[in-house]
Amino acid sequence: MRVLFLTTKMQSSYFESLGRFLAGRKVEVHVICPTHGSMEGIHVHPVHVNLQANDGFEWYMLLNVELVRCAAELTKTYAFDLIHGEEWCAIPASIACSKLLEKPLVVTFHSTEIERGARWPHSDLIRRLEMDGAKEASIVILTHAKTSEVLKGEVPKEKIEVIPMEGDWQLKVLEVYGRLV
Amino acid sequence: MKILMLSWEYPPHKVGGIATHCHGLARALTRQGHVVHVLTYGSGGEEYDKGITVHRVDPGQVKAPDVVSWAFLLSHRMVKEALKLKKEGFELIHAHDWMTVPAAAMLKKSLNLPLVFTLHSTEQGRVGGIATPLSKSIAQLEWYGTYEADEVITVGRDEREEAKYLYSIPDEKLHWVPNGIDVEKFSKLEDVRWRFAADWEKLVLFVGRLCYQKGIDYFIQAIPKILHAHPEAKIVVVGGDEAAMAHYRNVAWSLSPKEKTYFTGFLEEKTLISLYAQADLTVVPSVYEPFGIVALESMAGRTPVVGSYTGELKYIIIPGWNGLHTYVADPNSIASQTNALLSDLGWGKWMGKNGRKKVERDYRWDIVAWHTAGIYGKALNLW
Repeated sequence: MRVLFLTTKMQSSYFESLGRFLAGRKVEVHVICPTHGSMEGIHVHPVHVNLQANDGFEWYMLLNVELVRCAAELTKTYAFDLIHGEEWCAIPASIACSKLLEKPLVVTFHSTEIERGARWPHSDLIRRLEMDGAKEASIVILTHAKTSEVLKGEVPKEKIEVIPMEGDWQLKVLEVYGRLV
Repeated sequence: MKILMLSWEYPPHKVGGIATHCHGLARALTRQGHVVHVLTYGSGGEEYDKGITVHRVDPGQVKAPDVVSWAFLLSHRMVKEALKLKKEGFELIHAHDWMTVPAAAMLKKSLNLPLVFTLHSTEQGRVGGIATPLSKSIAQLEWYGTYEADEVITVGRDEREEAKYLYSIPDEKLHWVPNGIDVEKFSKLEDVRWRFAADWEKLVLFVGRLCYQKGIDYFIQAIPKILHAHPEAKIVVVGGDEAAMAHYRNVAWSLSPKEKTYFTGFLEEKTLISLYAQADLTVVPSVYEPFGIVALESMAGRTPVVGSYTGELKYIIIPGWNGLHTYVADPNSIASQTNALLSDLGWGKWMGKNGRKKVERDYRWDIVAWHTAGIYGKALNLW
């Protein structure tokens, strides 16, 4: 199995831990992110935003353009079986990659904009992106059970998997992958 | 060729001239045997318009703090839709203006297709300088579009030089192709003049967004001077949203008699076309105008134009033959040229006929589409 992770975090502890575990289970893991570093056992493909962003939201959206462009380039070399995006800020690129490769999409939310207070000017857009991601994903992984309360009624129950980052959580994520691939 | 056209506006959703441009170009390309799919904003999904397939994507009712954020959301929706259509086998992407640049950059790479980018105007020109963070973001996206594109098109020759200077675009990928016009539309007219002016009044027409770029401020200052020389003139101002119209109407009415200046707001196309043909002259007082489609529409209606010596208006108007030039941002110049034409309506009618000849010869959509298809061929390395 070959999995493509998409994140806007420079060093995602979630993907780093999951990737290291998966690499040990013969899953080939690639991550596209704005990093300068490396992650043990994971193929890291760094991307950078070369334009100046007016605010955080714009920077994330410009980064998503780069995530998609990098993924399109990688598909010339690698055949991915699954796309896994982390948080709202990687949702546009995750959806685009899933459509481009015609492969299932998994998204992970550590929290939602409503839980964070939804108090900044872009909150409505962020909420929309979260809903887009939940709608397009085959499985939505939540790392906190309380988030499922927020998504109740908006995302079908059978699509939601609550997998807190404790114990053998990575194995549970692998089981999710196994159901989709 | 099979073309995927990206535009944030497309009829019936019209804000500026881009919708009209994309519609005219897509129809002419289709007539010439190309297959055109237009991906644009709006609800309603997929529709067919005389051989063109239009796909509309709707970001939904969402509160965006600024137009750039909204454009990113639209772009991501466009990408999702375009990737669903990849089996169509497009050969080329043609993106229009900065709003579609993020989508164009992603699709160029994802679908591995050449990109043609039309820059209809520049942020620098529209707002008179890059003074705000929002303008800076828009200008950056314009630059990014020109950088990523295999071929760049501007709609005017002065705009071509402006874009080259602003965005350091290499000469070999920079082209100018004018806007076109559907002259046939101007043969089906209704009698609408009575709705706007008495039959003894001389109708002076302004059409456009009510904003600084279009020179409405200077035109309003010219109105008292026009009415002083020609009390029989009637000024008709078409276009503008409610807020802009209320503002400019108050300014105009503080300077000249209310009954002599009529702000109509938005008019449906059928009425506007008839009004162009039944006006005595059209004033295009733009401060910045990469092309000036209002001038072409007026000429198609056989009505002479008084227009600023700026952008493509420099070349569309041949002084004394199909219209008159004015100095830019100069109410005295606007008034004196308007008065010259109002003093000799016979001359105006003769100039109107010449204007019609010019648009029929140089600005039919079929001509514009041939030139554009030539640029597509270059992007595809066909020649």
